[in-house]
Order: sequence, then structure tokens, then C-alpha cells
Amino acid sequence: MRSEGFALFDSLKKGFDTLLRANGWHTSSHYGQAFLWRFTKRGFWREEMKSMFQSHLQILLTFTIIIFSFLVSVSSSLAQGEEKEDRPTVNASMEILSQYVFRGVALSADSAVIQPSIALGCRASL
Amino acid sequence: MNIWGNFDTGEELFSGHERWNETDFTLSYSHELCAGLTGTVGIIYYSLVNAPDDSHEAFAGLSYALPWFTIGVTGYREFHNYPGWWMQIEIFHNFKLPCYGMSLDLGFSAGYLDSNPQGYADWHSGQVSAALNIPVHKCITISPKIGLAFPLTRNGSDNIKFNSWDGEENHVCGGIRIAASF
Repeated sequence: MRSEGFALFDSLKKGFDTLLRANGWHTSSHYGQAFLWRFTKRGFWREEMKSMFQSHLQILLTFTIIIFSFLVSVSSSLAQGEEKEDRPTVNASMEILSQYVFRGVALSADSAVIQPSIALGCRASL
Repeated sequence: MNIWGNFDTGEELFSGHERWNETDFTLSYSHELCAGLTGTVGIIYYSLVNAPDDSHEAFAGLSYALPWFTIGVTGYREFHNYPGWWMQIEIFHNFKLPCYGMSLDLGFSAGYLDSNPQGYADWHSGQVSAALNIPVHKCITISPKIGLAFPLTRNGSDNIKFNSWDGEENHVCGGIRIAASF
């Protein structure tokens, strides 16, 4: 069974390699590198594409906070059966922009930026 | 409460090359003072990797919803390391489009900067922006957007060129926003 599984994998890999070569892609054992090579050949966002694939602790932390906050908010609201208007709100967003401009001043140069955000809101009666 | 961050995919200007170079924490409170008039107060803590010190601001603003647009004015006061004022006037409107629940955001804002460390006090920059909101799920919206930021005065132009990382005074910024609301 194990050898059949590997044979199936090899067959799929060869087929995928053939497909990539037919479309002018540089192939390698790592298809992420092939993806990068495609963009590198075109000179398109070379550095940006490389950096976007680099792991980054803060990005992972942000995503973790977003997901955790969402789960906590939704679960607590559903559990309490509150009216919709009184439920806490969660707004998560991510912007991918060509430049970071703050109050007219560019705070990035020749590089795209990724800007995640999460907002938690609740209604308070005064 | 809002947490916002900036990840620069190709930061090469500063020695540390820190790609995650800003994290902002905002705590705010909004209240509808009367029909159509909303007041907002809050504080912002800017955690800045490439600046000598972090920044702290308190802000207060009013916005009024008119039939065709909403107008707002907000004052920001930096009270810790870079004392100064940023006053912003903005006009914006959300146009409902007759297909697929889409809408179009159009906005204009103008800012007045009074910065003690920079010795600057004048109208500074304006911005026009547009975003097309496309709902793709009950609570998820994708918004292609574009904006143009430009100086309002000659002093503003000099200040923007001096402080901008690219040395330019006009900036066109575009991209996409993916938002989820629950």
C-alpha cells in the first residue's frame, strides 16, 4: 500500500512538472520556489514576493490574536443569547497596499505593505 | 479598541530592516449626541520601531451626517515625545450600488499640522480616496481601493518631501482590503 502511494505521488508530480514546463515555468522540487522563479523572471515584485514568503513571528501572533478574539466573541455571544444590538462586535481586516502613507507622508519606499487590524467593540449604556 | 500593524515587505532604509515597524493601539468611545451628530474621543499609542521614541495621542472629534455626505472634524494632540496638533477635516459618503449589494466609498480629507519639534504650523496635506466594497459573504467584504495624497501648501510640500521615505510630495496608494465583521 505504501509503495502504491508513492507511485501515485510520483505520477502526479511528473504530470505537474510536465504541465509547468509546457507553460514556461522553471520547475524544481519545491513548487513555492517555482512560483518565485516565475515572478523573478518577469522582474515583478522580486523582493516583495521573497519577503512575503518569509516567516515572521509578529504576523503569526497577529493572526493568532485575530482568530482567538473572533472565537471568543462569537462563542460568548451565542452562549449568552444576547440581542443582536447588544452583542460585542469584532471587525478584522487586512489591507495590502502599494505604499504606507500617513498624513500625507510616505512611510515606505518602493515596497508594498500589509496592514492587519482588529477592532473589538461593545455597546455601553450611559 | 483597535490594534493595527504595518508590515513592510521590503524595508531597506533603516539599518535594522525591521519589516514589522509599527503597531498602533487605539481606545475610543463614540456617542450620538443628537440626531446625526456623533462625538468621539480616544487615545492612540503608536509603537514605532524606526523612530527614536514611541508616540502617544489623544483625540476628539465630531461628525455630522447630512443627507448627501458626512462631514467630520477631529483634533489629535501628541502629548508625549513629539508635542503637536493634527487637525483633520473630512467629507465622505457611501453610495449604495444597485448590484450585488456593492457600495462605493468616496472621501476627501485635509489636515493642519502644528508640530513643535519640526517648527511647523500650516495646512499640510489632503487626500482623496475611493473604495469599492464588494460583499462576498454574509460578513466578509473585499474592497479594492485607491487614494491620492498631496500637499496643500508650499510649506506642506517641503515638509512632506523632507519626511517621506521616497522624497516625493504626491503619493498614489492603491491596494485591496479584506474585512470581516461579526
